[in-house]
Amino acid sequence: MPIDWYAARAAGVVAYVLLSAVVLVGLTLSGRAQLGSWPKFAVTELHRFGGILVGVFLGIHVLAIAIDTYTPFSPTQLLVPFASSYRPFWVALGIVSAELLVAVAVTNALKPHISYRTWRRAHYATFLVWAGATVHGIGAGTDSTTSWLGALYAVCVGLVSGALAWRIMRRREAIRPTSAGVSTL
Amino acid sequence: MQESSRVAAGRRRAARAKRTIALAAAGGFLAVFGLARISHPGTTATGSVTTGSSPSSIVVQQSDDGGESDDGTWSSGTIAPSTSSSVPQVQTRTS
Repeated sequence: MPIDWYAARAAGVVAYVLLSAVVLVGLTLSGRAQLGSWPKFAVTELHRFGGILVGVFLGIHVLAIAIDTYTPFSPTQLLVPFASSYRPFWVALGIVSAELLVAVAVTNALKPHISYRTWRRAHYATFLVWAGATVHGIGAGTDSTTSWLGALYAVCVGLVSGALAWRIMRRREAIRPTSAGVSTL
Repeated sequence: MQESSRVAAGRRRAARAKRTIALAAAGGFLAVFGLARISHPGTTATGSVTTGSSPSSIVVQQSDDGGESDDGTWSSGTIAPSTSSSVPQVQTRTS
């Protein structure tokens, strides 16, 4: 089996783990969690750096698949959802997620020129990217049935789901006193 | 003055964490690369085929298009001795 096929799989898994970590840090930032002696700007810097690393490993993942001869993919099959005959639905999910991630990266680059509200709304797409990447990895990944990768997916899904639940609760707690105040007026 | 030292400390901490994350990602890449290689049946089955009559004659059966069928699924290749049909086949490729 060619080395580039293993490289594609390894890069995909690392990109997914990094993406999960970046989403976790993002939720921590937006939930205004106290991180001990870590200043907010340092956590934001880590969040950005993690995002860049996700892009790097996603690039390696796509490049390795492009040059791989074990499962040949044409440039069209790499860019257009459902163009590939290899596990079309699961691969399409990966393509859509990757393209959505590029769109999120573009809005990050344009942040000084767009409104905060627009940027924030676009940034919510990261959850779709993460969910799509999870399903893509489980459905299209050839190692998904192995116990080590199953455990990895379980840990990532558990952590991100837990952090998302915590974030939603924080938001409700923040809204509750305001709405109570409005109702008494 | 104290504020700037706190900012500098935060920057140092972030720089250290970034180095650690980059190294961990590179290490994770190599680890997953190795795990994927080990866990793939094509590598674990190598050398485990034993036959009674003709151990040297092993035929690898696979379709001519690299294992991919028309519906996009991957068929499994097999290794089997060419002379005896009673010896169990060993699967080497999965999808």
